[in-house]
Amino acid sequence: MGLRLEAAAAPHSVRSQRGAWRQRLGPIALYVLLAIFVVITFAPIYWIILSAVTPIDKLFQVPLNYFPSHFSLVNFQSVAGLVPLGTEFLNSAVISSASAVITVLVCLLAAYAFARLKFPGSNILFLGILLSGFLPAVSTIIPLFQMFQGAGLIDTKVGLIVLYVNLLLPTSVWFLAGFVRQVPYEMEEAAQVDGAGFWTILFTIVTPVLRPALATLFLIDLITAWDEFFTPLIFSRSDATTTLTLGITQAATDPVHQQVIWGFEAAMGLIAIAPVFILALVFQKQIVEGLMAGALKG
Amino acid sequence: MATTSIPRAAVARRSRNRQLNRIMLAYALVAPVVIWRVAIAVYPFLHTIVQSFTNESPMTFGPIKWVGLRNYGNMFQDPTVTESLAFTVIFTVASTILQIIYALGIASLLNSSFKARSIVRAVNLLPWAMPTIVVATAGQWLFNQQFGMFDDVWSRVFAGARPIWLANNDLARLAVILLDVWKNAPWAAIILLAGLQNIPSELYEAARVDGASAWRTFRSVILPLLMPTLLTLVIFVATYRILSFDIVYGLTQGGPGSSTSLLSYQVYKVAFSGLYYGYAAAIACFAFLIVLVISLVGYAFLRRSQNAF
Repeated sequence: MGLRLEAAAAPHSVRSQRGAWRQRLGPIALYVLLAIFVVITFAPIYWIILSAVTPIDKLFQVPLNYFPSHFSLVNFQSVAGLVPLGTEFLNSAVISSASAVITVLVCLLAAYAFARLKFPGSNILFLGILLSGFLPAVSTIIPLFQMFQGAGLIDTKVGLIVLYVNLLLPTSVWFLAGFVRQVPYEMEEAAQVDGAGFWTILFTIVTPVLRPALATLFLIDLITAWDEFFTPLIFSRSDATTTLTLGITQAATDPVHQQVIWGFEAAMGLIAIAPVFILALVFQKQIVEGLMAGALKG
Repeated sequence: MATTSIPRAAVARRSRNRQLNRIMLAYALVAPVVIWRVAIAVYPFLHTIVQSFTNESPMTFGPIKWVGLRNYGNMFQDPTVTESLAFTVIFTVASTILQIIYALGIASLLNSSFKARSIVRAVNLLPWAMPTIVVATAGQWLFNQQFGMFDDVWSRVFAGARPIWLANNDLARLAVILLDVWKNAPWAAIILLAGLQNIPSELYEAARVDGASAWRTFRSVILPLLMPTLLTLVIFVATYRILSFDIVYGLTQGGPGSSTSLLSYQVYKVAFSGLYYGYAAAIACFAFLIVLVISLVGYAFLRRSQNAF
């Protein structure tokens, strides 16, 4: 009898012990995995930052030196002597912010029409814009290049902005239309009854409600445009339009030794990633929610 | 009768006018976006299709000749194109699978509750925010044999092994895939996190009360509910992979040989270094065909998984 009781009790006690273990192990395992994830994600970024602020002969040692023990801005000074850094930074800033502003504006108009006004062909147009986003950039690039040559838009900021906006449009319209649909229609009806015209309704009633969504869309479009590389690679020809993303591939060659210097590239890389990192960290919550909302509208 | 019908007709006419005005307004509002997309994307795309049947090149003088399907025929006998096609398939399949699995891991980590969650979420956003070309350029040095960080860690883990990452066909391919996963999995993780947060927490509770293990809960409760998000994501991730360009331009320039030359990179080289517009257009059209097929297959799966509920 006693034996049988023991036998019956044994599995139970083992299980509860294992449960206690799992309870204690759970959080530890979670933090270990989190630490691994953070290290994997941050290590290459740390390497770029470290390489940018360390003279190359102090960085490339055997074994590698992972600690910022020789802080110096010499790489930045050397790069600034080789590349019009300020101009390239300004080009990136002007082209990407103009593209983001224009995209948000034209998308607000279109999204309002798609979400609120019934008109023949609206579904087909909306779907068409969305699906046209799947057209590969390389499948349009040759005729575009010829068109822009003919129009004298190669190597102009206007040309690049036209192309950037085109890239941002499909997802942006989609994103905003979803938000316009969530604006309570009663507010607009009430305004209509009061005799408010269309533009008044759009800018004094709908837009204020949409402000968070518009700001998020602007941020995401701004970062996407800042990061764009293929378009300037094809359409930039001179310093007047060279963006930082393009500059990093051209500039890092040391004219004396005719070789690519990693420290220079890292310094330029850091200049290129610093603004988007600041935006991403300051507006982390808005961007994550924006990306999520964009995904859920599918 | 007559006295009442006149005002009624007037009202009807006026409301019809207002209806017409609304429609005109709607067209005016969507016009900028539609014209932009037609002029800068749809029209050039159609033009590319036409070009793919010609021998067009800025080098040839005289009229452009129709060559029928010759460009497409040549493509499959051109070893650089077939090699880049092969790598595009390998890259798309491997990177998509790895990215989705890794992103599922990140998303479930970010979805659990712990201290400093906002810091980890911020770190996750950094690779997404960086320009791909910066990642790829840095990658050249991360994989550098002797002074690369990745190479250094590798040799410490594998007792001094120092493979020449970017000079070996297979290792260069692996390097492209690993870097691509690192850069893009965080975005996929955010999308999956949205999907996870849409699953009602009562379902987790119910599974736990029933004594289901974590794996069992994932497989029987979470995965089926996450399926629509997951499939949509697979379509996006896979099509973006086929069209990747920056990562290869910055990391390997398609080499060694053309072992890492993705189709987009091949089109770029043929069009802007070789100046064979017609031939490049044919390769570009073929890339679009692959995107189309993948999207349609993915969409079919998506419809099926949505109908399952």
